[in-house]
Amino acid sequence: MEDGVALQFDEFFRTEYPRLARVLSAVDASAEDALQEAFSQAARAWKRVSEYEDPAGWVRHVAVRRMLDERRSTRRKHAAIERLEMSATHHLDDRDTAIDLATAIGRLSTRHRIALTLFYLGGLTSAETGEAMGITAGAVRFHLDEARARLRQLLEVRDV
Amino acid sequence: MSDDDDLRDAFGDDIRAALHERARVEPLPDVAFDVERRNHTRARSRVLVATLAVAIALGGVAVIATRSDDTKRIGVVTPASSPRTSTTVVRSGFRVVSYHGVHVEVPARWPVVDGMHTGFCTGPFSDAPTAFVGPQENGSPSCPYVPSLRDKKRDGVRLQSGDQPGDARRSTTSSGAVVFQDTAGWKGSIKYVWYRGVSLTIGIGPDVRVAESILDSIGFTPGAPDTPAAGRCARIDHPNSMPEPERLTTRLVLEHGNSTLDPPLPSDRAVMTAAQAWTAAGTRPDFEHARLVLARYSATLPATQHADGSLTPDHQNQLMWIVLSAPNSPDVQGCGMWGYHLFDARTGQDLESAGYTPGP
Repeated sequence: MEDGVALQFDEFFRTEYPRLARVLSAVDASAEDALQEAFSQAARAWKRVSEYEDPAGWVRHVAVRRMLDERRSTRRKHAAIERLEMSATHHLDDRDTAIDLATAIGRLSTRHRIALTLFYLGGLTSAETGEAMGITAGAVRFHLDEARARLRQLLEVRDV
Repeated sequence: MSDDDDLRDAFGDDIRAALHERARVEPLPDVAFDVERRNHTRARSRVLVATLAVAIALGGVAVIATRSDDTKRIGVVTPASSPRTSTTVVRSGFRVVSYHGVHVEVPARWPVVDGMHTGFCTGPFSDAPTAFVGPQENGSPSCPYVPSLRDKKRDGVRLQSGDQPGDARRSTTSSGAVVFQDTAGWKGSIKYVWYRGVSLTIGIGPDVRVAESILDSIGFTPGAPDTPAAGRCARIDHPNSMPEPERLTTRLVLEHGNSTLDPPLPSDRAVMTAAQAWTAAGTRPDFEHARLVLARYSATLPATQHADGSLTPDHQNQLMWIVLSAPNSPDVQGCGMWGYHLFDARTGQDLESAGYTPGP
């Protein structure tokens, strides 16, 4: 990689990695791996990626697709999910301990968590969220509605 | 008020706060982060900074046109519920495409291509209408950020295995086939239909009648062979059978120079067994084959970045079990990838997995 190109990527990384990491880490523990892999891909193809209209959007898209991609799921991801599930189960088994909203989010599907995270924490529109997830804006709103309904259900159980 | 605004209500604010809690971070500031703040974000950020330019070209579709007859007659063994008569006349200018017994008629000029070449980034179909048969099982590629291309109206059809979701709508085509359709109707650029265990993805091109005619041509012939497809990806019968473990004897350079495998020293002994590594690598696709190799692994990336900007590679001369994979059809682009999955042979730790293309 030429020096100028490397410097430009480094600046991009310094600016965008923390932003994206802060948002996506709310999904689950697989976010860091996915994001680093996405940045790695961006670095390898930086000459091309840097010419895109929205390189950060491209990285977000690659990272999200990576998180959704079942085939590339490694044991690390499974282990992360297991940890989340164990955590959620632990809280649910202990009826004296109320489920808070953050814990309830951990009980949602990966797809729901990603939609919630990009839309609410990332501040993306449903169309932008759909772009990142590879689905339509309508499908995003459907997922958001489903996720909200599920969360309300979980919180009602808590209230009982 | 936009549709999105409806969702950004008080409950949305609660969700946002809860997500902040899950991320264990403060709300995003409006300004860019500096290096110091970044370093506080992660205790150990394995920074993947490129020091080499590797051209990775993913997802090239190898579409090979095939010549087809303009008119055919096909014999149809009619099951009780089939809408077809014993002999179906294919319209002039059309051809039959069959997959797992389910068939449709498409314009004869459309090539029939292995479903592994179905598009990813901008929808399943391209500007050249194509009939795809079989699943697309390649991993998600990295896609250019070109939103406007995703919803472009394109003709095409894909047949692959799949059952309808719970909310699919039951309907009867004009030819009498009882199918399940998605609830989106004919809006958008894609129509999803399910029939007898086959999922059909129909592209809605500029002239919706093309897609409608495909839907109306759906039929079923038990035992009918799948239509031969161009760009076929070879499959193996037992992809999960463990290959004979091997100690590497000559140096291998992988991933366009990023990774190097050297033969282990005679005194090197793995604590993790070959079988443990193979099992830990998980299930394997049948369009790739694998080797299980004990070797000393070194790589430029990933690397840890220090405060002064210098990089220290994470893996140097480390004894590893490596599951090396390669496509069964290396000459057909889009039939899987070259890849590796690394396990520390002394600790059993799952370290990295990566896929890349083209070539080893």
